[in-house]
Amino acid sequence: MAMETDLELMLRVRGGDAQSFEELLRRYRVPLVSYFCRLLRDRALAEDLAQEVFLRVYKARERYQPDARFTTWLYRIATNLALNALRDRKPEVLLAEEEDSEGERPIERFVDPQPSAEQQLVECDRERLIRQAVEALPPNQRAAVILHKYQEVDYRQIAGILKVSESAVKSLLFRAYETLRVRLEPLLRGGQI
Amino acid sequence: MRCFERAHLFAYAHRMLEAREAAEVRAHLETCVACRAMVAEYERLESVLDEWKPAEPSPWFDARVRQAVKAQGAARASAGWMRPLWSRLAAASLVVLVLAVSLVTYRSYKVSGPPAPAQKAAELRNPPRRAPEASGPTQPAPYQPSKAARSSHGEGLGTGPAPQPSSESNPPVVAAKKAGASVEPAKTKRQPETLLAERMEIPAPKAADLESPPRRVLQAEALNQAARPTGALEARRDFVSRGGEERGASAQPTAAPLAIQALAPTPTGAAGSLQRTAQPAPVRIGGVESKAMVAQSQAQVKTRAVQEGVEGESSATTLRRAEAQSLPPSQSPEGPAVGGTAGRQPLAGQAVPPAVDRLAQAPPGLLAPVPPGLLESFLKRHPDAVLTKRLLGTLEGRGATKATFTAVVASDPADPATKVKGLVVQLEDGDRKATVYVDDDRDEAMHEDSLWEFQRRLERLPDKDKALEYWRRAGSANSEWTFGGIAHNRPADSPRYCCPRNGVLGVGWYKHGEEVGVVIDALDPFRLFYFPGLEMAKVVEMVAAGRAFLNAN
Repeated sequence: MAMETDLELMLRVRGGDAQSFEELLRRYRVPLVSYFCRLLRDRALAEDLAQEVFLRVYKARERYQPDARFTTWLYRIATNLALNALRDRKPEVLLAEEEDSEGERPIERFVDPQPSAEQQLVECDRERLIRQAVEALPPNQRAAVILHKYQEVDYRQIAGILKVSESAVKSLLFRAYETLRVRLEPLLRGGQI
Repeated sequence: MRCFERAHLFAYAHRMLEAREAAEVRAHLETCVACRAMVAEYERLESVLDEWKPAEPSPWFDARVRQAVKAQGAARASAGWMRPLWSRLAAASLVVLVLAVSLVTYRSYKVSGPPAPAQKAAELRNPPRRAPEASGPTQPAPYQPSKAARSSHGEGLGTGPAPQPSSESNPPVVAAKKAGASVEPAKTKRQPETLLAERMEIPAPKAADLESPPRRVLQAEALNQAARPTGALEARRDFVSRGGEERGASAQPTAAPLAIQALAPTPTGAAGSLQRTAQPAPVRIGGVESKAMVAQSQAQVKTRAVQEGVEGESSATTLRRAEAQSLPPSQSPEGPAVGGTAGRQPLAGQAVPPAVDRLAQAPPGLLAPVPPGLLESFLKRHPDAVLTKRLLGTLEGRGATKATFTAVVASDPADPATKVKGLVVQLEDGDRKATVYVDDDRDEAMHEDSLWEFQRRLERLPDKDKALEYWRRAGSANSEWTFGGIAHNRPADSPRYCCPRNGVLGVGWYKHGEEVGVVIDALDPFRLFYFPGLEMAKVVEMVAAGRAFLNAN
């Protein structure tokens, strides 16, 4: 298949072309899984949400309107899912949809905060420091940094994804990077580039 | 020219400035060392951040997406007008239509008068159809693993209430949901409860606790004594003997008895090395103290009722079944004694740790109310090498150097001393930790990864129906079990059955034709709520099948 734009592919998907959907899947499975992994750290959840993004793209294909860039739309879906997952994952947040049968008491939900054995094995110290520094950012800042830095999304697009103004995105990114600059100072001073 | 603000330099470094602004900054940087250093720092930060490598999707990711897309397409094709949105629209349209007809009829009635008697009789014989209620969350009927349910599950999870249960089988209410449909979990009706959920989760013991002397010492002779302080064991022997005579004991593998591992606590509270010793050594279990739980456990333990069969036939039946499964060979020198097997030697010097008492003092809602003697009963059932060997094999296979028995899983809060199902063992190897569940009856070690991965996938699936779909498919490979959908629990039953959570428990499975089943907790892989007499090996199979399915898709 010739190198078509995402928009062209999505319009074909809207027309029922399965092969075009496969191409979109091929192009964005790594970025999406990687995006979710960085945002959420939970590998299984990352894949589940990435799958959900593709499923939602597929479900919405008939209604798709090219009023924004495809990646803006894609990452908007992804970011919403991720931010919801982050919000729901907080121990003090109770799952409202899982109230008990009498509707009396929401169910508490606890998440294992420890990295898995696989993560411990694979991750080196520097990478762990970087990951922890990014994870410590507030959700919106974290999403903005990851989109900007790792998903290479333009800040104007980020504004569309996060539904904030462009100046707000710049402010988010600046504050996030300032925090990262301080937290990662040991790596900046002595680390090999 | 004065220096720029950090925010401006940051924007320049990240190409967020307009061309004119960027040119101004560039010109300034040629003469300003400080600003140049600041920009260089941002560039170095970019390089550092590059060290965080992206994650690759798993090999089966694409297949899972295709499967989900295919399921989505199939759901749309098969649902037809019954799709939730369409069904609502259709139902609403029908309501409007019926109202319109009713209005016309009423007006004509008003005009023309009441119908003739013959007409009225005809209407009574064939009453006009009432408009169906708009679809939405329904009150599910209690679930029974009937053929109808199985067939419906085979066809796909259907909407609507599940079949009614029989009087003998009263599993927890289960709401089966159609895969892909975003239906809210339905409220449950109050139903007789046979779900027995026990899990004792005990935190690691504190150093001070471990140093305190045990209140009782588990004597080897006492284990084999017919008379035990607790009446539960007495009653158990009666049931066991009756069950053994009626059903016949199945042969149990026996082996030369070995001592239970020594778990010498370290000063930090962690368990010591696992050793096979010739001399039995104290087994320690961590626990949490709570005076409130003492009172609760005393109030809730219904050992006398179970002993006398007051609880009902089902309890006795299941108790007999449970005992039959773990019944020692009839040739045991002890006869149908409690947990004894041929060749088992008494355990000498076994100390009952203070944690045994702590089990009964655990905070409400977390631990089963356990009467004293639980550990004794468990050790009595497994003083031989079967459990030991398997545990050692598990530990050796994982290269663990430390092990701590952290929890005992029982299945009957009324008589947990006789229903111990297994142990949860925390393994440590340097900085690595793992948790293994060692089954009581079958010595099956269910590795943490299996359960935890399953639990994560089950929990993290954004659409609960997808979770059901996963498990429906996973269970289809196991013909003995009926997938029961999401299992609910009711608050009133929670204290009795030690379910620490109300509402949605997890994914339920029921064994065909029997009132046995298991609910794998959706939030905790080691929280297995299951009926008495359940063969834990089946649970292992189900989890393995589910995992295999998830991995393959």
